[in-house]
Amino acid sequence: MAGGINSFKDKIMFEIYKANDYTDEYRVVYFSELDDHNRDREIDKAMKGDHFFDGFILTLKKERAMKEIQQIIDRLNEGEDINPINLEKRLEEFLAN
Amino acid sequence: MDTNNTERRYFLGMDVGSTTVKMVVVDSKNDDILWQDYQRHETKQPEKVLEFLKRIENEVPEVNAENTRAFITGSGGKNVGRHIGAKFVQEVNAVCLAVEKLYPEAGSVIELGGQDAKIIVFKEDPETGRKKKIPSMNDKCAGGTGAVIDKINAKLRIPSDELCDQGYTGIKLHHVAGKCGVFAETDINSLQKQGIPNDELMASLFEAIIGQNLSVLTRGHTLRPHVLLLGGPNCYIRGMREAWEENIPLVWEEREFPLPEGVDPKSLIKVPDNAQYFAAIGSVEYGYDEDDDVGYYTGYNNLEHYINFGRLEEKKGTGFGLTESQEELDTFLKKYTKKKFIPATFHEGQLVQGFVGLDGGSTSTKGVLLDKDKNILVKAYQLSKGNPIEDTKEIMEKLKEQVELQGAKLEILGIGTTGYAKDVLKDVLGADAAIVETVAHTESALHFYDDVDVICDVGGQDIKIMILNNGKVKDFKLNTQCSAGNGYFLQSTANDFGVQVEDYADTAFGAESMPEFGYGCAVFMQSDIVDFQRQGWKKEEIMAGLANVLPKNIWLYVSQIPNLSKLGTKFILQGGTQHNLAAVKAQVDFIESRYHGKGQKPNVIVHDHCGESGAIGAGIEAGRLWNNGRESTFIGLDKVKDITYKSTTNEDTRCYFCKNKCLRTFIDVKASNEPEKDVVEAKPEPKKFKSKVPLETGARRLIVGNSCEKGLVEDVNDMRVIKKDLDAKLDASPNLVEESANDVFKSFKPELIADSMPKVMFTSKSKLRASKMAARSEIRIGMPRVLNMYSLTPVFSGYFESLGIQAKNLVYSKFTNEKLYKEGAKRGSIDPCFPSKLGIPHVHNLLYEKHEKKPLDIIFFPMIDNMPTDLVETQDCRACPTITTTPEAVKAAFTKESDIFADKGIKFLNTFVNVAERGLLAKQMFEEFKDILGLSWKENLRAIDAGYAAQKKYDESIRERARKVIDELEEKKRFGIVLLGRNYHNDPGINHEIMVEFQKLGYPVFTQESLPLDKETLDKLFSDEIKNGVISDAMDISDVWKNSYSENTNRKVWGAKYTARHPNLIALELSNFKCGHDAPIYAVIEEIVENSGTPYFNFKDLDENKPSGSIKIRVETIHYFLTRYREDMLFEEKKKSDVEEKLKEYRLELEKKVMVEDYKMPVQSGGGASIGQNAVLSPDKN
Repeated sequence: MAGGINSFKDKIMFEIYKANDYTDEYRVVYFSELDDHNRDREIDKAMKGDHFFDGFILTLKKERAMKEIQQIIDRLNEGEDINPINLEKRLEEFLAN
Repeated sequence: MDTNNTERRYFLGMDVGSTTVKMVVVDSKNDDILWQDYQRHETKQPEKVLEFLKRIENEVPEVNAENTRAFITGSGGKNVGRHIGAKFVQEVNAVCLAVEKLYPEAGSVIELGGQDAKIIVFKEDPETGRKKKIPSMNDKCAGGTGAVIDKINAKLRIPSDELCDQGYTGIKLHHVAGKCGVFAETDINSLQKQGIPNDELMASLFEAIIGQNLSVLTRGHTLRPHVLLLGGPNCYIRGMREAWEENIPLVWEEREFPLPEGVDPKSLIKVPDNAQYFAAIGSVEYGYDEDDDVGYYTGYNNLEHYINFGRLEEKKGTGFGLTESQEELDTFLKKYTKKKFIPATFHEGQLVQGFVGLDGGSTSTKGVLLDKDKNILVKAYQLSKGNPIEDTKEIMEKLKEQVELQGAKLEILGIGTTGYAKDVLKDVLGADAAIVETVAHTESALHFYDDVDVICDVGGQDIKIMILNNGKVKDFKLNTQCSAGNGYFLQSTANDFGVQVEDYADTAFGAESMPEFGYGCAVFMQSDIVDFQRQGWKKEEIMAGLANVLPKNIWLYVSQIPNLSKLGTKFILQGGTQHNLAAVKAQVDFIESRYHGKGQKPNVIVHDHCGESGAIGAGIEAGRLWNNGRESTFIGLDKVKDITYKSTTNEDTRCYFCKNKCLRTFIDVKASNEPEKDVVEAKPEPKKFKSKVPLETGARRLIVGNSCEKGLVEDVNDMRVIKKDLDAKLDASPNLVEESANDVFKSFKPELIADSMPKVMFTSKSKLRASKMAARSEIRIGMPRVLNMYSLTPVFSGYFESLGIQAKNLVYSKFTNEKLYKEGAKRGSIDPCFPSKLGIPHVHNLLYEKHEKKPLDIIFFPMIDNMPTDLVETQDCRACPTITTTPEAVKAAFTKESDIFADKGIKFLNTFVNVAERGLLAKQMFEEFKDILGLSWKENLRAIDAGYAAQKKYDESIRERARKVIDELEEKKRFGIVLLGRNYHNDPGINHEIMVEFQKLGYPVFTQESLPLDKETLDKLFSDEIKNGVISDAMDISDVWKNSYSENTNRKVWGAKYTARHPNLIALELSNFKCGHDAPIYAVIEEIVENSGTPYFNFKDLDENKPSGSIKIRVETIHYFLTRYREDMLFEEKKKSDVEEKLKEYRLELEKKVMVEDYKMPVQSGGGASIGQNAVLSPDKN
């Protein structure tokens, strides 16, 4: 929201999933960033896909975290085999409890 | 300014607002301000003005009644002005004049007052070069005004100097409703409970107020710099200024509004010197232009007399209280005073069997025990302790005690629940039914009273009005968006006056006169109460006045039904507020007054058990199910007592499924044992439970406090499980509205019919044509997903694709959603109806999203004048003129300040087309595209053919699909719902996904265009009427609609006829607010459907606001009545088949008897064969 900063505890729930449509690509949804207008649609899309990884990132580190996640997704889509345990390690510094 | 009137050279300028008085004294000789002051009047407007005038007399002695003129503005200006000879000046005029004088460079003004908010945008008229004022003000709503800040601050108790220093920039913001002060308070309460600090609460409130004003008051106009911030909240509260400074530049950036180079946009938003005095100074400016004899100041003596004597005299003369005479009051009380309810008595050892109805409301829980004949045995009431389970346990105990303390034994045969906690209670108690409030109240009213037309339920925090037709809810109104008019307000006012709510009526009836409250927002009424007190009105008079305004709030403000007589004549008043006879008197008088001169008299009845009507309805439903053979799933009275629960609300219960991050409450419920009957529908425990709030073994978790159903799960895995179930449900019930909306924008893969490229090009013309033909495959055409494009896009996509434009290069705007609308609507608005308003946002989406991603060459938004039709004997097949001309209005919106299309290198084509006339359409498309695409006339004709072929393919495919679904419905004896609307109601942003809600409940959904037209189906539905000569063809609507010139209207009428005749289809009419074409056929559609006995429901007046709460209740209500309708239908069918079965058995028996008799009977000689003989010889013939 305009003008706002976030507390250090604030977090964003996200999920990396494999889209179950004609693309078959990996995607990420940041649930806690969804508004009323796109919430249902984005959740529906994610739920139609296959779960790969989910968790929380710290809002304060969200920009770097999102970049990192995007890189991981790009690599997954290029065919790289990344298992969820390694993925968690890579995101460790951004993850919230 | 020299007015040449030296005798009256001094000018008093006054602004008497809802909370403050501002006054200036100006010397017209030199425009010097000799004196000025600004003070809160604490609701004593005349006193404060008098105080100022006396001070002026002392501090500026040269000013007197002989040499001064006076001009006054503000909400209190008229009343005060008449006592001092001041001329009243309209506020917007006053502010504009001051702005023009003091800040001619100002482009807009935002003035927030105590009870008003105005935005004035100054625009230059391109023809005259003069500045044109575009003013906009709030109406009866406090949302977005200083009153909301006052209200919230009264709660937070921030001292005024600290309030002024509250900031905005850099402070964390939370969601606070800006549209209503009362709802803002609810949000603030909830945030406060979460421990959110005051500075965050206030910053969030500033954000909400600014958002409200930007979205409502600018009405699509861009605020032009410089922006002046006026009025108390803007001048004195730092955070308000910061919030404007943060938010307005965002709008400028988004709209690419040209700003002076090198200037910080924030510096263009300012609070000018004397900001609080602008209206007062403007009044003086106004006075300068008036004739010399206008506004002669007469001194303050008359004002002083008015304060001391005149006001009291005026008050006496205002009329009557709630009744004009004791006789009238006696007659009223005789008719409306209810006998006290006497609980049933039982004898020792008696077994009392009955049904319990529970109404879990927001402020209280009510319970009733009904006997098998639905008579009320005992009642119980519990003020809410904040947890519906705790409240219900106590209610159940109270019901039980009233029976068992008499030595009787209670056996509960069934339980029904209603109210906001109905589902939680159903789960916990194993109740047999959880019914929506509208149904519960209707069932209750219909149980006690016949031929009810209207039920008006006024509860603590809500109002429900159910409009009935033949015992079914036809329509209803709820105050979900505004808190005005609820009973809690009366109650809290009584408490503030130290009057028990039970004594409200006696106190109010004691008033011989009463002040007149303006109906509308509770926030304003609250400040009116203070005003009236200051004016000397007594508590009984104020309470009478408040009761008197209640029906205006119910009928004029909340439900907006001024013409009550059209609803019928029998009104049942329900809800706890109806215990207050002062409120009843006002309602009865109001309702009766709406029938004067109409030749009818309404019959207004207060429900005998008005406070418990919801609970009674729930109990009746439980009884109905029991009568139908349902075995109760109730866990048993003893187990209710032993229910334990743990309630958790903390950071671990927060929902993270969207930005709202609702703080939920987990209620973990444990009953002592397993249910007595092993049929409680407990939700399955998720296998991988990752909750941070551990769930004890045997406990069930109920989640409350979530604002949407997404919050009912705790993590992604749970969501996936629930989603899977939901998807399975949706798959089982196809939604042809959604499918049509998707399919119509797909490619129908037409054959490529373009001319082949010329091999030899001699002339420049042929070279040019060849280059254009070659470019076709790269041309990108954007089309808005709006209006009649929802039915006719295949004509255009087929046309373009067949000419060689790639399907992927036909780009459609997104489906309508709130974000798309809000972003685009800022560009301007077209007022008639929401569908037409969507034109601009969709083109905005094409320009600013689709074009940004990959450039578009053309935006094609045809003005569709007429549409192809399957109907016969109609007058015409025109499109709605508003809809037809929307593209022209859209063009104006994007070219009025600068040509956005040209700036972006896009051609905007709003080609006028007649799709119903193939030849004409061919000509129109050719004229538009011949030079752009290098068309030959012949290939244009082939492309037109391809377009119509694509349209046919689309229409037929959707009908084929519908046919299969309808066949299945017939086979399974289920119902489907037909959307009777306009084709653009397929747009999910217009239908607000109402149809999906029905789909979730297991109803397939059809559009009227999808209804199968095969001969077999049409014969089945219409052949009798054709044979009888009523209609000439199945597609003939002349029997019911003569003015058949509008195609979409005609289709709707035909859809209604079709649905009415099909036993498995139910009609659901959708209509938009301000739809001039729908209004004349409301009654026609309703009668067509209802005369056939088919259920009919509607959602009318839809606009951009998705009424989620109302949709949920309405869908649940409709579902209930459809379930009952199906039950009745199956019951009737069963009855019929039972009778047939019995008849068959009886016939066989008779035949046997006859056969036996025949054997006994001797064969007659000489005659024909007897029946017996026949029977013996060929029994199968019988």
